[in-house]
Amino acid sequence: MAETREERDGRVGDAGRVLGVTIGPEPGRRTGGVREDVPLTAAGSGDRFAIMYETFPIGYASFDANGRVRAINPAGAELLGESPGDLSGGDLVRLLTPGGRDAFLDHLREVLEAGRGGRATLDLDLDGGRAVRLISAPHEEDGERECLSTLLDVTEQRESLRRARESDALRQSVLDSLTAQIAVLDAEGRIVTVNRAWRRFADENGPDPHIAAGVGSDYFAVCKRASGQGAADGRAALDGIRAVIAGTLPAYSMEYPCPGRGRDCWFMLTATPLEGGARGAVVAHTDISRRRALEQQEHRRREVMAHSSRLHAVGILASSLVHELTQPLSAATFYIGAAVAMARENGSDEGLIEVLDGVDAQIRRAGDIVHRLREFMRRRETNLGVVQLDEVIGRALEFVHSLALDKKVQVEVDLRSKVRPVKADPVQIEQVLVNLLCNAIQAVDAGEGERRLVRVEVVERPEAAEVTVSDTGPGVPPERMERIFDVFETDKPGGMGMGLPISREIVEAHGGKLWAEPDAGGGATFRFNLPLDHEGSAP
Amino acid sequence: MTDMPTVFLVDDDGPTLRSLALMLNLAGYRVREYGSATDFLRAYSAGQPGCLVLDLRMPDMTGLELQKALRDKGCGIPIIFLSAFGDIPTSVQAIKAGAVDFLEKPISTNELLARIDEALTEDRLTREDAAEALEIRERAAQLTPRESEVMVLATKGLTNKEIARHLGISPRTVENHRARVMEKMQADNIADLCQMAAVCALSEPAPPPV
Repeated sequence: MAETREERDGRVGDAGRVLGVTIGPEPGRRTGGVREDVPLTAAGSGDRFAIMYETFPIGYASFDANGRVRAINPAGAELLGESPGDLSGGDLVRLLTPGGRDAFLDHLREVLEAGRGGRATLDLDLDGGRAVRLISAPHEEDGERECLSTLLDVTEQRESLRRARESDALRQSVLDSLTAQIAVLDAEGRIVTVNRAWRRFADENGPDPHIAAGVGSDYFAVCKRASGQGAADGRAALDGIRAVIAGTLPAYSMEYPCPGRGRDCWFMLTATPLEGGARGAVVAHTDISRRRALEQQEHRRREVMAHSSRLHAVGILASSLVHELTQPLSAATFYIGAAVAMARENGSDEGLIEVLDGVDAQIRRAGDIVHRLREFMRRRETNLGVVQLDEVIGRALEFVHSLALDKKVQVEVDLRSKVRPVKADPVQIEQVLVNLLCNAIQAVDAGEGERRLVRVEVVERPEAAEVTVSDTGPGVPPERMERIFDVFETDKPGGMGMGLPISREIVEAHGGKLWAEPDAGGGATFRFNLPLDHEGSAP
Repeated sequence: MTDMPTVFLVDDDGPTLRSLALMLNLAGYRVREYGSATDFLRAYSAGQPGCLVLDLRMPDMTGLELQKALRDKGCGIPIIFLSAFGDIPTSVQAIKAGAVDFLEKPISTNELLARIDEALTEDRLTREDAAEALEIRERAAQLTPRESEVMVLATKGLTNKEIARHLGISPRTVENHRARVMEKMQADNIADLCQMAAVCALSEPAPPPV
């Protein structure tokens, strides 16, 4: 007679308490539980193993060579989705898919052919998405061999495994979607996983000292192998990544030039610790060439702006200087006029009158400069006149005389060829000549040559007069030939680099050209031309 | 009242004023200098011959404002602006408002003297013209009405006969009037008379009888 439910529950409950687990039907769960309506086949035997056989959620079964069920416990039947009564003596095979059938039969064969102590495991997929694991061993009874199996519900495990694999795939696809080259290192610096970008970079660059081949390689060894320019970088990277793995650094990053790919290629290496238990680091290489190019552009732009605002300040300074100088110069002009008149009236000696005339001329000259400066700032048109170049050159030489003397540079002038007057603003042309002469003298001084010579020459060409200023200094490197005329371009520390651009602007405003030529002798040669005066008098 | 032309200087910069006055004095000019436009206006009476050398930027009243004030008073003294800091629009404005010159400091003494001479000459000529015009009008005021009519018609180019017909008198009478006109007006010939007529603005005689 079957037990009553209460009796059975009590007995099962007792067994459960011994084992320390709760056994009983849970709502909504079929696996692992015991069905209430399963009749017990070893009622009242008191045998503990019988109790376990009857009530525990582990399935036990015995199969013959053909896969027929000789015996099965309630849990086993439950796992297979049938009642023990239906299964006993029945065919397991019919419950399985064709693939599962073959696998099961192979499994049986394997078990039954194995000797004593042999064991085999098989995972079977059943209807409804459940998975069952059979762990089987052979047994002989009454001369007959049979397969004894434990049936375990591994659905959960399979599900976890599947989810883990899915999660891995998701993680890898996320890694692969990133443009940076990413490698995950373990605690010893071995590469555990890489993304697509990493693999592609390795393929494209072959034995690149900064990128190891792939999974399994020792990244630290790669860092150590870096040589030449990259040796220091490699060491720094190694130390940084090690520190991140050890936890002494929260993160590490380093910018380095990518070797052998042109001077404008830069990469950034970052290492962050691996989260979630295992020690390690995520290393990423990002191409920052563009960012660095923009940074440098920005830096240069800021420098130009600073320079330009300095120039602006200078412009304001110059403007206020002009303003401040005007009144005193004006008053001085009138005073000198008065002095000359007095001297003449009083019959003073010629010496005094000459001195006063001299002062008068210089003040007038200073006044001219103030006017020109003011006009330059207003950007008015130059005041053209008929200019004898040799006179202008003479005045310019006076101007730089003391500089040449000081630097022990000889200045030679060749005025042999007769040159007709040009149409020009004499003060501005003098400015150009002074600029070129100063540059030449300073260049000779900066160079280490034996000959310390600056030469000025004027020749007449069709329609123009051409002036040449050449020196025996180190010369202008070919790549700088055009750049020296750019505003701000200077190799003199503290210099403003304004001389040549302004000189060029002046010459071009006159309708001429100013340019630099490579000199066979090694020094620099600057030439400019000015249109000849045709009318014989300026407008 | 002195008839000698004076160079008036107005500039708020002391050294400029002193040095310029000194230089002009030694060069033989009569000079009066003022440190501000208001000082000058207080001291100057219209009709004084000469020219004005004027700074642009001054506190209180600027050069341009002084120029306008003089113009409003009907004062025609020639003005030379001598400025330490002038921009093109201002210079254009000054010239349009009637300035003779707009010069920038520092300027050479010779050039300034030349410009001052030009301005003084212009002033003299203007005054002479004005004085002459005044005298001509005074002479014209001495004409009898008939003589005045004859003068107008004669300077219009009408012959004696035509004038006689126009006025309804005999040609003989016209001839007499004409002689008297030439005498009173002190004209040498008809061309002279025409020029004087332009200055006089005599009224038109009545139209001839139909």
